[in-house]
Amino acid sequence: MEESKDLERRGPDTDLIEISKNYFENMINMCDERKALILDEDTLGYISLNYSRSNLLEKNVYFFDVIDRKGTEKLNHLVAIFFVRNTNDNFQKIKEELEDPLFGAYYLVFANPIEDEKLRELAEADRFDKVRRVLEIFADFYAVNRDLFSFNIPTSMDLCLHESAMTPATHVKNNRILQGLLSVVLSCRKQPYVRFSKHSNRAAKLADSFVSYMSSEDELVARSSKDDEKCTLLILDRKDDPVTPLLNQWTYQSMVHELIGITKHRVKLADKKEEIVLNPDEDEFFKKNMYKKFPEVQKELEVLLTQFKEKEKSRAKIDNIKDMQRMVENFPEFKKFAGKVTKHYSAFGECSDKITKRKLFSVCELEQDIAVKNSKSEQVKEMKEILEDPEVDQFEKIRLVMLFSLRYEGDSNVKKFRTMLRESNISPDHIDFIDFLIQYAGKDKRSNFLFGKNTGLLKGAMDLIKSNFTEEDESVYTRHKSCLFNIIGQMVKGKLSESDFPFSTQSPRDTKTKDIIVFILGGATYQEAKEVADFNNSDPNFNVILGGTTVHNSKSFLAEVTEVRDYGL
Amino acid sequence: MQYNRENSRSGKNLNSSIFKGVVRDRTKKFFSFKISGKYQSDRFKTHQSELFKDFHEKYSDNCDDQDDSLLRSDGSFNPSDPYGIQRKEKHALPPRWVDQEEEIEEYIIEINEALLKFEKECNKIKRHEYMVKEDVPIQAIDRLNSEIINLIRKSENTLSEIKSIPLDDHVDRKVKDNVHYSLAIKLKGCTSKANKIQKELVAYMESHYKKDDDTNKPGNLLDGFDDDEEMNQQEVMQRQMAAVKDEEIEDMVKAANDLASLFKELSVLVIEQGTVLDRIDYNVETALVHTKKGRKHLVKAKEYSESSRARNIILCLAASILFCIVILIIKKY
Repeated sequence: MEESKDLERRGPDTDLIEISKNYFENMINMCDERKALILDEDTLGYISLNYSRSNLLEKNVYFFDVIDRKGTEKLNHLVAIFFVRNTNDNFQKIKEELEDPLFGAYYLVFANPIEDEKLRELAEADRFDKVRRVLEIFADFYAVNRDLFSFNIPTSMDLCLHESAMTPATHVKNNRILQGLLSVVLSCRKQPYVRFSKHSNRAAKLADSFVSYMSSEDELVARSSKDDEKCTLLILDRKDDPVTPLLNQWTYQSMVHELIGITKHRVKLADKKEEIVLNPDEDEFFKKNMYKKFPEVQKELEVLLTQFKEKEKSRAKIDNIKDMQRMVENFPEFKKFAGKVTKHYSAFGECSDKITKRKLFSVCELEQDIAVKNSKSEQVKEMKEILEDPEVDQFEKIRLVMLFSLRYEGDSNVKKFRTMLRESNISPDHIDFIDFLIQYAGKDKRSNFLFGKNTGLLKGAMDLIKSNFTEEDESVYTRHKSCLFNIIGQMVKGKLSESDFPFSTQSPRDTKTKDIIVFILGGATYQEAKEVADFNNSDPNFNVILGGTTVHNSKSFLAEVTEVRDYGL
Repeated sequence: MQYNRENSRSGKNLNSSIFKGVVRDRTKKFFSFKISGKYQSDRFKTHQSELFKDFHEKYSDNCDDQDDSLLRSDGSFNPSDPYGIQRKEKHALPPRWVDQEEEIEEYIIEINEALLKFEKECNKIKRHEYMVKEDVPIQAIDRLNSEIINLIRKSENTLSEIKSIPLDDHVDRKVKDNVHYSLAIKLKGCTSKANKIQKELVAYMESHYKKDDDTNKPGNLLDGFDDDEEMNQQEVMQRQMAAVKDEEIEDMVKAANDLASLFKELSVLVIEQGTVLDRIDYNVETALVHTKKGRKHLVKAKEYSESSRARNIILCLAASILFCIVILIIKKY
């Protein structure tokens, strides 16, 4: 009960879902006529996350499509709203469209700032006077949770490359991140100080170019802040914490992503033809339980099931015409409820199947041990046991050796483990992942935050974690806290080291800001999103928003890590 | 044409304060670029041929005429109608569902007005403005009620008309289906609102006025000690009136049930909400798959029609005929 109260307490101006919904709503309300909505690949994703087809239909949007398809059929009776990102490709397509218009009139809505030069070209292309309005809204991000955004860029390893070695695709990616970050800042109406992780060159580069990008769009940035309140944009690098995306997670959203995979709220279950949708905005049950742990979700599911059974019972009881009428009336709602129950049951069921099949309970205990405890000899013994167990999934074995080699880099046992992996018929290609990971996020590459071996300022954060353990977190499977958790903990105290996380902008007198936007190059995780949400709920004085180039699970993270080899970093 | 130049630039006024995030309206700049661009192209135009001048004037000054020229300029050619007259006709007319759509939109406005009145009356009853059951203007309420039901019925019929319009093109069909769904959603909103008000009213009437009857009766009996004939008659009249009212109430209950059974098919919409079927991207993707399939077929058809084999054979035959003719001519001379 109290949790839901806390959720309400969150200021509406930092609720990303609310903000982007508001953008879409107002965009579509621009005109009352019959409408068509034309999107590009990304904006289609943005709008799909938080707006449904029935929402569109209610607003007289009778046609929606992606911009790539050049139809030949005239749709003069429809007014087109083009909602696209400002890319050369889209720009070219709009120009062609205006020169040979299919629709009755046009509203051009861009998700980023559009340059004057491009605007002039569009104006010249509009020979038929069909354009009624040109608007920039800054919804250029996937609003995944209320406080989590993503750009859906699966890998960003190439951003580590030196300027001269970058391909055009990398520059596009870089621009996309810059534009996206500006959008987040503008849509939250905040003027940020920019900080970055010193150990990452791509974070430093991004921070610098973002500062100069902001100053080139100073007119927009000046519009954004309602008051003088500043916020902090902290740019981190995934390699500073390679452990969090590697671990098996036990909260509902993370677990489903790790074991099955979530893309834009959509989940493809093994035994179902249709995908299911896990969207905290339209699914009350999911919203309530997405951050809860496995056993709690199980309990909630049982409650849901009993509710369902009761409903079914009362539905089956038909004594007279009135009951019948009621049944007919309630049928759609009942059906909807049934759909909800089956959805969560099958998602949860598939997860728990995989957990027992892969023996995840024992594997995870060791994973967590390696991540938080410093007892090597014990862990080596357990590692051997698990690596010899033929029932444990191959991937889990590699994962364990990876964690071990991150934790005890250069330890002689790692070699032994590798031979054991080879003996259990794991392909050498997969074993090589271990090297890539060390190459990417080894001791000398990352900041010294990981595994809490550091001194001084960090102690405070460590205490914070410890107090947190005793308070709520006694489960052996969820002992680990991400680095981000420490960093935020220090930030809200204004104690985050300026030598490790320097400012790109002029450093302010008080480094404590109410609003914090954290962006992780190389992807965030749902686990971190959970920690951020917990933090927001527990402390109403601060608002943290988390973002990443993408939202990783262990597999997608390793896919990104292997790019280290391709770029020879 | 629906969109002439007068209203073409008068989109709804946007107040940027309704946006939670930052927005920037570039319309002014866009039009300023346009005006300066036009001036330049005017100077440019004087060097062009008369034909171009005609063309330009046509487009910049008379929007309504665009369609036919556009159709001719898009290179399409209809052998039975080489000048595109028929096609112009076809495209200048709005699609066939527009009339029905407008009709339903009007019905919806009327329904909403009626609903407002209806609600007011119901609230009056609930606020005890009528002391006794007999004062309740049930007939007026009934009239409103049946008016609403009538309107909804009419809309439902029109809606099924839309559904049955045959269309060949898949884009047109998709738009039509969406129109159908959209109107259905709106009507569904109206019906469920009407339903709710009615239900509340009926429940209130049943519980409240029936009790009233029960409590009134003993009181009447006590008063009945000094009854005379006149009083008795009055009572009989009252009882008769009450019976009529009861009937009327029953009618209302029936009507409410009628409403409930309307739009059963639309329950699908409710069920789909929150599932992947209601996702925008899913709908676009499935449409994409369909068009891709369609395109494949088209490409194949094109391949068949353009396949060089047939042409080669024809050429061969033509060549051999020519050859034979030549031989014939040579032989003759």
